[in-house]
Amino acid sequence: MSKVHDQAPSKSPQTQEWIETNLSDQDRRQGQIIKDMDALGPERDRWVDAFLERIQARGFNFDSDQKRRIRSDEIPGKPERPFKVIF
Amino acid sequence: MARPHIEPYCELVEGYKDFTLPGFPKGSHYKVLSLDRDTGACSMKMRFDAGYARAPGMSYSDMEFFILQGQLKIGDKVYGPGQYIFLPAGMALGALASEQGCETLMFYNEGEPTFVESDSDHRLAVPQAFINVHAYHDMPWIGTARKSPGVATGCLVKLLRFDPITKATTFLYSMTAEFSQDNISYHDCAEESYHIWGTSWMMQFGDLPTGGYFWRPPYINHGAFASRQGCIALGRTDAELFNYFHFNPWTSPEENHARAAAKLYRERPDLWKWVSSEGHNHPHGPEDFEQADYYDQVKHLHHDHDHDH
Repeated sequence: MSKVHDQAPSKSPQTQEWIETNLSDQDRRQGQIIKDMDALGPERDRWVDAFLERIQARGFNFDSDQKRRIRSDEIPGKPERPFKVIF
Repeated sequence: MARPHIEPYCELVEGYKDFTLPGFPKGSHYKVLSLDRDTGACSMKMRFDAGYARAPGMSYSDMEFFILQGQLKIGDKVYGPGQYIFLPAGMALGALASEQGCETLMFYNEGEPTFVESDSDHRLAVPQAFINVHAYHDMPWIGTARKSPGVATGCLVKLLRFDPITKATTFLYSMTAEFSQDNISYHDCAEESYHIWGTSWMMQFGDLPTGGYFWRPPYINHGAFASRQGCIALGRTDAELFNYFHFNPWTSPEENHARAAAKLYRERPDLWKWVSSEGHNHPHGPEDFEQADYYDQVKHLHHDHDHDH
């Protein structure tokens, strides 16, 4: 955070309106993203299953190209709560 | 920074809007990629019409821009795709002109876009922080640029800007064709990316194509990762990027936060105890005798008030 920014004049009504309008548009965009990501749920579940298979077969990248095969008893269980990806 | 989680978002489906904020000349257009609801700081894609011209001037906010297409004349030099500029708040930039028009990414880091015509720098500007580099030609790709744990071979980076105080970074990154990395990651920082070309894939969000963008707040899972045909993108963080890798697809940001804090507790127990005791854990953080100015600025971010330590 620069000291120059502290010297900025207060926002004009036109600037405030610009911000409010674009925040409103952003809220709409995020709402659409949440819907799209919810719709992707079944396909994402398949991707997760494939990932959990791969890390047991080929390994989990724990650092760069270094991999460790994950034992079946290390595979986490899916919790009861909804699987959210947007926060 | 108070921006919502925007991921994935492809701006190519949206039209430009006229950029009419006070102080700016006509002839430019914008799409907001993300906007901070508290400060007005924002990331935008902008288009400058052929014949666009702007007098020399400054912004009250640190700003960054990256030319995607076309040419932009700054002062007496003409720049093209791949040019990256970090302009510190208050530093006067030469006159802008675009004979044939151009498209850029624009980032205002501290507040809403502002422009004041001026031939000289603001008295508090820090022009030493100015960066002007051709991201495609002026530097080589390097492997994992971060400390361990790092990303897999095939994800290459060019570091364009590093803030020595906050460790915020701006970087170009590229995934080679058939890149893959089988882990899930999160960070302590917000992370932002714009796909200049190509498609990458993440297990949570699916494909991020050309024109794809995300602003992801800290501690949100992303990955596994893949790119079938490769991609090149501009990335930014607002603090140090540390890769917390794991393989549990269902952890929440709160659980990830706790895991990161547990790591801090294990590695710096004395600091942890000090911070978490005797009122030292106020959000604006403790005073730094080497960075007193920074302390003042951070205090303003979390409301301007006095607080005893």
